[in-house]
Amino acid sequence: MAQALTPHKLSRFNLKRKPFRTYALTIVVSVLSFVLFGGSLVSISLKNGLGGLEARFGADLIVVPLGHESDQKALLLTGKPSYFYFDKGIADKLKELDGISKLSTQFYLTALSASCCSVPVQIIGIDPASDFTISPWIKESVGGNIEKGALIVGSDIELEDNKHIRFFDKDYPVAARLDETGTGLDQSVFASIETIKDLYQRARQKGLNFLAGTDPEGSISSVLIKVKDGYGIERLITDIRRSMDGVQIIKTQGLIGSISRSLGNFISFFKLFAITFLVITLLILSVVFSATANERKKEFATLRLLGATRKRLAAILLWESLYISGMGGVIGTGIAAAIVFPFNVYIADRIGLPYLMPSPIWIATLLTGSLITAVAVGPTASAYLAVKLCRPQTYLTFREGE
Amino acid sequence: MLLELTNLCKKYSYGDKSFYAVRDVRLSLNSGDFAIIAGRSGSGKTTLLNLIGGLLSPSSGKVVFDGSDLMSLSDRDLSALRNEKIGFIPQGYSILSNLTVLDNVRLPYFLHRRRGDARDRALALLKEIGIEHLANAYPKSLSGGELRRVAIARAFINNPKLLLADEPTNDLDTESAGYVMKLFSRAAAEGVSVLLVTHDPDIIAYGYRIYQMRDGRLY
Repeated sequence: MAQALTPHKLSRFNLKRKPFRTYALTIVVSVLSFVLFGGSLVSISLKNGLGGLEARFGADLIVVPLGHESDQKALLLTGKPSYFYFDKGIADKLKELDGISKLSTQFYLTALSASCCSVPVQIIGIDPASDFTISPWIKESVGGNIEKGALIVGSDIELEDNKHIRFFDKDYPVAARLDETGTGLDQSVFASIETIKDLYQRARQKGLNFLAGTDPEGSISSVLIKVKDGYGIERLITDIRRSMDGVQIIKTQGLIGSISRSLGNFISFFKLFAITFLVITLLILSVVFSATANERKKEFATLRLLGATRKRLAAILLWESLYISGMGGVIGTGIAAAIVFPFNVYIADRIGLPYLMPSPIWIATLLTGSLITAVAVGPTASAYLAVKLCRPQTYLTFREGE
Repeated sequence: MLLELTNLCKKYSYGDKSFYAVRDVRLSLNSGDFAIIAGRSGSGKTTLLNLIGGLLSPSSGKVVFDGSDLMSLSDRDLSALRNEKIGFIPQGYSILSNLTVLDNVRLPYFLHRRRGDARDRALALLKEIGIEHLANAYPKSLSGGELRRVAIARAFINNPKLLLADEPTNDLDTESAGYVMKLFSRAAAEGVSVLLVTHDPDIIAYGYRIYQMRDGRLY
């Protein structure tokens, strides 16, 4: 049986017989849906990353050795491993200052673990007794403090058996895996001060000397400070600078604030770009559909005199535009998904900001929204022509050459 | 009475000037009539056919076809009437370039709800008009005469009561023109009412009723 010549079949025939126009318009819509889906997915991932950073930052100030401000920031934002030390006495001096509500120290190591990673990971030693930044989060995940000798791993650390991780030829039990934050903490391993000292000693036995002869008991990597309510962060910074040398002070509010500003700029730029691209796509499609209207005047007139209703003419036109935008929408979102999902770690690394992919429901919502917008572009662009076709006596006369 | 035109006028205005393309035309056709309207180019013949087919609305007067006043019908009903009861062969090339010859002939069958695929009927019509071998060809590979034949075959697909043909023998050689005119005569003999407009004096002899059109008036 031959196929029925319904409006959507006629539309498909028309598109097939004009391959260049069809493919060109499909590509335009594909780029639009790529920008909409890919761009919004990256934007939301960055926003989530910032949210993760804010949620895990209980400290107002981080004091690090002079020259290591950027190392500390990279460690927090992207998980780039590093280690640096200064005298533990710095923490004792800081404790004497007014305006400090909470204070805790951290000790950093980096290590290559054949059992989990092909690149070195950051190991952060915390003091559960005084820590007010990571411990509450660990308590939330583990239900208590880190046991002696056990480690807690970030969400991006992959384990062979999910129970142990090997550092310096010793298997350490893994007590828990933390939730994803989109920050450098996802690529870090956490240990209590006792455990990290054991790790340090084993590293030394293997010939790795992080401290170059300095006493590990008297060294720390950073001091995290919570400022007393009403004291003023700037005032405390001034106090610290007056009382000691050889340190750098990172304001976490400033760190988050600068990321937030960059992110805000990025999102504003993306929104503007997406809207501009949407308008350009609509214009291109409208112009092409209108331009083809004249060449197709005879086709529509023929259909009309054969008994097609005005609605049917409009339906043929709308089906054509729907096919184009539908194909474009699926191709564009498909390509965006094929790039963003497998390469999200690389993208995050290149952007250098905390990056946390949204939940599957959010992704599905973004995908649907992008698809609907892209698919709606075609019929919207051809709507004027469709309405024009529905006007009485627009294509009623039929003369050769008219 | 299948078709009745009463004081039919079509007036066009351009700025402060106006003219009648069709003026006070009266015409009646019964089933099986074969009428030919002759006239020069620009005399209003095509406009008259468009008015009869319901493609144009008259400035005044009435077109009653098969008991229905065309101007009282909705677009849907008028389109259905045109599709089911009128076979239209327009002037010039009216074959859709994106469809094969067979699909062009089948096309009117699908413009309103019907069962089946009309393939056999379309092939039979193509055979009757001598171009069955071109069923799967696309219009761009056809000659002017072959395209004209496709349009004629297409006009018959829904078994119309009235056949409106605008210069149907243009682009046809004498032999083919004669063949087509015989086809129209046979249709008229089978009860189809045929109204043909032409400026070709050689085919006037085929009609039973001959009219002249000048400056929008029918004589």
